[in-house]
Amino acid sequence: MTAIRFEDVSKHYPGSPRPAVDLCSFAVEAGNLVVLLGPSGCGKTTLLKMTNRLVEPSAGAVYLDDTDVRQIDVTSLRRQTGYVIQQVGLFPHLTVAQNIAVVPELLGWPRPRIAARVDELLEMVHLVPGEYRHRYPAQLSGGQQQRVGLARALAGEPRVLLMDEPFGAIDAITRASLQDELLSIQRKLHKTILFVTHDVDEALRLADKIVVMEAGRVVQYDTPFAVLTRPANDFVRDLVGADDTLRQLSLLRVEDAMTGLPTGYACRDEPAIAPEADLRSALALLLRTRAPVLAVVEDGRPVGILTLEYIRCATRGSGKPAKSRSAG
Amino acid sequence: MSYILDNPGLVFALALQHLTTTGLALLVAIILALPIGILIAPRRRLATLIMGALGLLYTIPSIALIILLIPIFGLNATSVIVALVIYAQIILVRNVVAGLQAIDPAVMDAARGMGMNGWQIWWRIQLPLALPVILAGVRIAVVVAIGIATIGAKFSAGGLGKLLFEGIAQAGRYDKIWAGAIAVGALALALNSGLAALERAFAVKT
Repeated sequence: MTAIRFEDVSKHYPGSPRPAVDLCSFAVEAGNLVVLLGPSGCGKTTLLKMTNRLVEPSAGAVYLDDTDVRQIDVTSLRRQTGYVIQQVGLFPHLTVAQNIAVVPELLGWPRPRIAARVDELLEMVHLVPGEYRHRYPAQLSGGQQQRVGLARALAGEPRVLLMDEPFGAIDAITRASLQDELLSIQRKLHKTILFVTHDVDEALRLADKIVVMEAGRVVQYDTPFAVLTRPANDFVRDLVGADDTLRQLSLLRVEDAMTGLPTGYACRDEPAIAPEADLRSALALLLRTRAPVLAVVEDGRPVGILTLEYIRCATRGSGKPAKSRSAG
Repeated sequence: MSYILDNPGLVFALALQHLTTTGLALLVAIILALPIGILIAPRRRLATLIMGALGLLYTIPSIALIILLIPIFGLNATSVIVALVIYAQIILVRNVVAGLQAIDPAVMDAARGMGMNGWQIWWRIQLPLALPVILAGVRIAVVVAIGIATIGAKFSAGGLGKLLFEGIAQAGRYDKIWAGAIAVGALALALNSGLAALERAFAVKT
């Protein structure tokens, strides 16, 4: 089901020679995390802000669950769309709990439900409610502030979540752990998320699908695997570093390259690897153990196998090896 | 000092009159300054223009300004109050504008993005965040107004200035001059510290 749809959306700013957003069309499936990726000034944030009408398109339309967003009352639209920004923008005069409670209060939830929701969200973003509920934003680290920012955006149970470079101002280590948490939250909640970033690694890591943008246009809309292995043009190729094989390997996941268990295949003592592990560690495991084949194991159960040949095919972007060879 | 102790009723009555004049002036001034500040804060060029004009008015000496107002409002407290309102404007408007402009644009972006309407943004975000700066303006304006209101006695507005002007007019009545000066000073100090405490109470916790 389509959750968000952009239809020939353009944005012209007066006095600017070229449009900030130029005839963009794409659809986001419900429950998907779609990353808008591109260099600064490519129009990705403008496009994002059209979803909650912080920016109105000059032409074209944005649909939320098949309703033109211009037909939804603007405050009601924004209360249904969680919004996370790079500078976080927590309200400095309100406590953590009060910050998270803003949208539920605007929606008129009863107090006990709000209090329960605040604690639930604090736990979800790994902040102990008893310790953090009554703190003020200035008493939190940058990473903690953005955790609260994420909790605040999720508080009103929004239909979609808009994230504008949410981890851009956070140090690399904290950023990685926040990305992991976003992924684990996403596995639980299955929100429709639009996520803006200029960080290629972040995009490849988080996205179900990536919208690559250049100068206001969508140049490619595809899975991270396809963007990396079959870039639409030289711009995308350079942006994602598609020529760097080791980089590719570290960004591709085992599950993208593996094949299902061949019928009648019995796992013996092959080295095991998880489906969400990256191909670089898979390759390292193959080289180190000198095994010809790895067993892909999920929850203690083998779900597929991986050989050097599959890894090689994945990096070439030609998908899986030919059927006859994979059976052999 | 002994004059105050000998005539507590009179000094108290004059102080009350003084307070009424400044209080009334401040009330009107705040009612004017808030909308002006809110209107010009997001419009930088308009803000420069309006604050320039208010700053120009502020440079007119108080006696001259009150004299200029007498043909319009008469030789009474009204002229003095109008003069005080005019003087307070630059201080109050500047602080309202400074308080609003100091709010992190990301906070405003978040407030809008979360679906607050204009009134909710003003009441829940802008006012509480700008309040300490606005109160600082009120405090300065009060102290300035108390000082200027002293001159009001010359224009039959009463107040503690009466003691000063009588003391000057009557030879050797230094006690009256002292009494007036001490009372005005005490009034200004008391209001200043009271308002400063209020400011701290509304400051953003860190």
